[in-house]
Amino acid sequence: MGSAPWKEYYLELEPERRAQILERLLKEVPDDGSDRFRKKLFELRYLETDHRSREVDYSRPSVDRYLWQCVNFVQLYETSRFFKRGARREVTQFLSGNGYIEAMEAGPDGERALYWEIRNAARRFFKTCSGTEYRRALFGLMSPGKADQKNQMCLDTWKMTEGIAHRLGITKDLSVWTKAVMDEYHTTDPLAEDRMRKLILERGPGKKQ
Amino acid sequence: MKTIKNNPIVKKLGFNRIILFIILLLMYGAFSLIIPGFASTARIMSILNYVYFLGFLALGVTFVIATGGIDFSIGPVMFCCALMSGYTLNTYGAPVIAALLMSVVIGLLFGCFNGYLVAYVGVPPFIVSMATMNIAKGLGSVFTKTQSVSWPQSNDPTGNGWFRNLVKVDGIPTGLIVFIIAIIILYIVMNNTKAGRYILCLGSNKEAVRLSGVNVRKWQMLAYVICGTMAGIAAIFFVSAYTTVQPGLGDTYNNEAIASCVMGGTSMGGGLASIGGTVIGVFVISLLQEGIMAMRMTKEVQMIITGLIVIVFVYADVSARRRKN
Repeated sequence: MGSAPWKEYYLELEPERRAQILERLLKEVPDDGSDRFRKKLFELRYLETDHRSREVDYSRPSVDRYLWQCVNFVQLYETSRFFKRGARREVTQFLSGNGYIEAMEAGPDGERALYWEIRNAARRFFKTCSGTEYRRALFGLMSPGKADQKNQMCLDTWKMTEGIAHRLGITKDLSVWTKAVMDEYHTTDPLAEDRMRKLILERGPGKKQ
Repeated sequence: MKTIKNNPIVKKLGFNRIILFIILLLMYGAFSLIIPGFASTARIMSILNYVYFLGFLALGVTFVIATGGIDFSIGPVMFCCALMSGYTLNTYGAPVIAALLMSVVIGLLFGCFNGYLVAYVGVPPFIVSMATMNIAKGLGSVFTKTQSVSWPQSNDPTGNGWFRNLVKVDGIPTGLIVFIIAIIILYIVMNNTKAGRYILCLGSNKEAVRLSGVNVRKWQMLAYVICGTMAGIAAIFFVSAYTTVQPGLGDTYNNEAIASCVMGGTSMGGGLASIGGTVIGVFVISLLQEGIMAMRMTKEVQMIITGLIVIVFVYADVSARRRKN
């Protein structure tokens, strides 16, 4: 997480709380070279477009563009079987418009901030996966069992990382994204490694990738 | 089998869809062999007439199932649209175009009603659609005073039968052209628009979509509005192909439309929808209905067979999930 004080910031999932922590830590902790990226990534991740041109209002984060991409990439993987060009353009637009490329090209300082920001988004995504709304079965009438949820989470993780990267041929561009999401996934499930091998690589969609 | 499944073309087209298409061809071959004259143009036209209205119903409900919901009211809503607009046409002398538009508007209103209750009030879709099913049946009966409604024939002396050209003009199945255009539009909406993406994402992880700042209620409601509108359009194709509409009916088409979606690869849990698969499913069901009818089996037998098909495909979907996990 760069340095220990930033742990609190990257573990917090609520945008409003994160905004407060960020503001405080930027003042209190000496800059390790990643501060401008942390600030920039926060703005690009949470704040409305209108706010960018004006003075940024940290008290009102209203969207989460990185969390959205966690859900979106899963769907993009499913719907880009035939028309890859549009899907690739969509991913590229996200990468270039949300500080990803900028941070990646800035060297280790930018990459570090980006990596932890993505891990935070992935963490928020995985938290939603333990809720009752995640992948309900039989026209929304049944809640899935815990094991089913874990397996589905594994499939979704693969689709939003290696799956989409391979399908669209952008593994290099999505390398930080893939690593961050996968690393976070491995911390959420003790059987992650085993599950990923069985469900994806041995008999699932990743077999021939 | 594993080698076939891992073939890149099979992976692209979808193994289940290919199997379903093969089943469709085999069924057609089998019926043609068993029933004399099954491969005739008249029979194909009859199958297409069924495909049109069932297709619109199934395509509409695909959007709702993609969100992780369900709509059991589409069949009765279609009948309600046909009854109310037909009654207005016959009793109040409304122009045909107005009656057709009225049909679509009624469907849209039912969609708004269902969508509002599910998305904004938070009533489970199962309950809402079951209630709407009864409302639609009752409303159709009350409006027409429990009388069946006949739409004008193509040779109607008043010239009001022009709308039948929507399905057939001089033996040319114009309905098929309209249906293909609708498929293309709905495919694009589902796979290449913001609305379609939100609808699919809602089915896979509603909470994450909400936290991303997306107005989940709006997009969830939209799925029901599309479904209701499609039921209104289906009513137009129903009355263009058939003449009389009876009140209190329509619920058998729910099963057929939902079965078409599920067998076409739309996941019952939401988040995964296939417009192409639904279309193949519609052809399978329509062919089956026509085949059963050609074998002179009763409507009741048709209902039993359709019900069994729904159970088989729902079971197949559930067991495939279990196997996968």
